[in-house]
Amino acid sequence: MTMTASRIALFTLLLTVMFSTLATAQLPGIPANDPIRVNLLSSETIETTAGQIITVNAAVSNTGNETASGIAYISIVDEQAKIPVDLEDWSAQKGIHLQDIRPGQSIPTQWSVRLVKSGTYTVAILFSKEAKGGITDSSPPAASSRTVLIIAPKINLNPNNVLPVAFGMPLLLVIIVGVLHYRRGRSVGMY
Amino acid sequence: MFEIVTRELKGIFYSWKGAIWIVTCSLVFSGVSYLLLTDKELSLLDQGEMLFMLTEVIIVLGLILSTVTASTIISGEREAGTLETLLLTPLPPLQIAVEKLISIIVLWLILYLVSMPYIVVIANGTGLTASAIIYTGLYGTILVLGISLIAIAVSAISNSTNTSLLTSLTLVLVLLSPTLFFSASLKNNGFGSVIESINPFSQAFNSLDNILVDNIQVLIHQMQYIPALVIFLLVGAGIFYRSCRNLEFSGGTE
Repeated sequence: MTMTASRIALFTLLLTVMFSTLATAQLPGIPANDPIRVNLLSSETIETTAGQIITVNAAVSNTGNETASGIAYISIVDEQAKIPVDLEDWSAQKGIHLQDIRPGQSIPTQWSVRLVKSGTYTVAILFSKEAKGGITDSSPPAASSRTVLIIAPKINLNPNNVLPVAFGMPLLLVIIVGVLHYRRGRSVGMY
Repeated sequence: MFEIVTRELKGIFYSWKGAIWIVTCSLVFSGVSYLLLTDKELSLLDQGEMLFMLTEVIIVLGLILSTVTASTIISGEREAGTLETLLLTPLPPLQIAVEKLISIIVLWLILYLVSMPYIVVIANGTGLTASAIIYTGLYGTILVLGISLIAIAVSAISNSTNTSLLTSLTLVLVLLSPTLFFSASLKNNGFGSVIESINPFSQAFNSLDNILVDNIQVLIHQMQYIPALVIFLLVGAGIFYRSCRNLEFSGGTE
């Protein structure tokens, strides 16, 4: 009985140690206590039309005890095409250098984005910490949650006006030129 | 009166070969309009910008068409051996040249007329329709007239159509290059802005941009662009008069 009780106690102790080790274990590449937090302040879903310019707001906060510097940047992914978009086409500012974010400080950031194409996209803000004192920092960037962008197509021109002219004018001109040519041909005995 | 104009225009419209350009220009306008309607990025442009793009295409096509026609209009007759017959008519040489110039302006006006429905549908709902039609007509006619005067003058002194065509087209490309290739960068540069201010083509397109994109439609605000165009016309008229007052069987330039 005493033997069984001590075995159970030992087994429980082992389990406790194992779980507590697992809980504090650091998975490769992911820091357990990243002091930098990126919070996306824009709403979770934005529904708009193509051609509009929206502003994405985020705040980069330092919850640690040391000053941090780095680059905050925006990532826009086309969920239908499964590719990140070219930020140059979207006139989005690519990165903002944030220097010396003091402990407890939160710096607001803004990105103006021109919505070029219709579709569904996700927007996230990331922060890549700068190396300090020449020591390289391979920790992964801090990332915000994502905003879903649903962009409806915008129609500037009325197809009912443009298409008849675009297809009709060349046809009309061919007919006019043909009639002129035929009348001329008949007058000189060609036809 | 206007016998040469009638003859030139008949030569163009009564043959498939001559008339195909109108259909081609119309196809180009149709292509531009279709792209503005359907292309994912172009369709996002502001309607004023779309209209500006279309008017640029109309004027550039008009310039190329009139330059090609004008630069071969006398040297072509010389090469074909028909200039002699023309010079033996009682018409003074300057009148022959002027009538040929009128036929080119008529060609431009037909092209302009063909472009009008496109302008109307692209400008629909913007309140820019009248301005787009008036200013495209105004600037297009001034530029076509100016470049035709010079191209006919070159044609009058050339024995070869190739020489006159190449010379005139090069001039058009040089004058168009600031607008087509370097527009934004030129405006940020002192030397570039001087080039822009004396280039009639740039001035015409800058004014159109001002009217259609920036919506400044009053003529008084466009006055800054007019002097370069007037000087261009006067210089063209001077060269034309000097070259065409005494047309000869042989042009003197190969």
